[in-house]
Amino acid sequence: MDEQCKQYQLLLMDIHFGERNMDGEIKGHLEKCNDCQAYWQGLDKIEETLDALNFEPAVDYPQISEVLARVRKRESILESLKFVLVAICLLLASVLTGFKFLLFLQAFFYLTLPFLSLPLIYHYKERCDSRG
Amino acid sequence: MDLISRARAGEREALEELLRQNYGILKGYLLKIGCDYDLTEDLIQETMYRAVKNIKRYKATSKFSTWLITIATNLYRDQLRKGRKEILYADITDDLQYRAEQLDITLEAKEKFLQLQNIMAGLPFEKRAVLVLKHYYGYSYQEMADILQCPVGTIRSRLHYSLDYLKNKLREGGQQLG
Repeated sequence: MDEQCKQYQLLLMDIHFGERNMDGEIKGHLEKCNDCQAYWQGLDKIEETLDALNFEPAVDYPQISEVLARVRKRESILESLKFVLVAICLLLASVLTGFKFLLFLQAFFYLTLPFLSLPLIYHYKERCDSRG
Repeated sequence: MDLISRARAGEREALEELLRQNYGILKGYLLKIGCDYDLTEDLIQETMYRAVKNIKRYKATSKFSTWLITIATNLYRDQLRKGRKEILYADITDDLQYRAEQLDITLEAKEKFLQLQNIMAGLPFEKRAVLVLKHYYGYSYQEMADILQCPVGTIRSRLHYSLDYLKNKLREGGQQLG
């Protein structure tokens, strides 16, 4: 088989897999070249053979639930970490800067946050319920 | 709102449905490219986890299954890079033999099935992946190039090589599979 046939066989493969259309030049070569004709006919045979491995595994529902639970756990850890980080930053800022108003601000938040966050908690609960 | 949008919004039922719809494709792909059963289970778990975790990054320019396959391919490649010995079809014969029985296929079909596994095992992973993506999932050269992160020309030559390899193996085996 010469280099020209190798190139034509690549084109024939493209045509077989729908990546290119058959044109007059390729058709002309195919008509007069036995090697390329055999290659062209062999492509269907190979595909037919490959069908022996065509199976579709069943869905593993517990595995999917496990993945979703893992993601939820990660999200809740991340949210807790964010809260702790913000709290530490506020505390450090007030201690390091020594600004009275920061301490007042922190005290204000500690006292009022539970009330201010009620709508947020309610919203979060709604979201969780809708997620199931 | 479509399934993807609902999943992006964090709706658990939508995520579950999305994973359920694509589970067979993902597992089938991993088994066909040659993963052994244990690694397949691990990779499915990790692929689905990463997909859900990064669902907001998913751009619906390609199918969700394509995204899953891309993640799974990268994870499998990482395993190979870490030096994990590639455990091929030949080593998972029992599992697939069991599956063949489950699929209730004829004895002749089962023989073909096992023979083909052994033939495919002779191809390197990158070439096997191209063949699997093209034949079983009908991806275009460009889509395969995106999944496997290589140029279209490389995909084309890998596919050509794989087809030649199969053709020769079939000839050696006296066309028993055909």
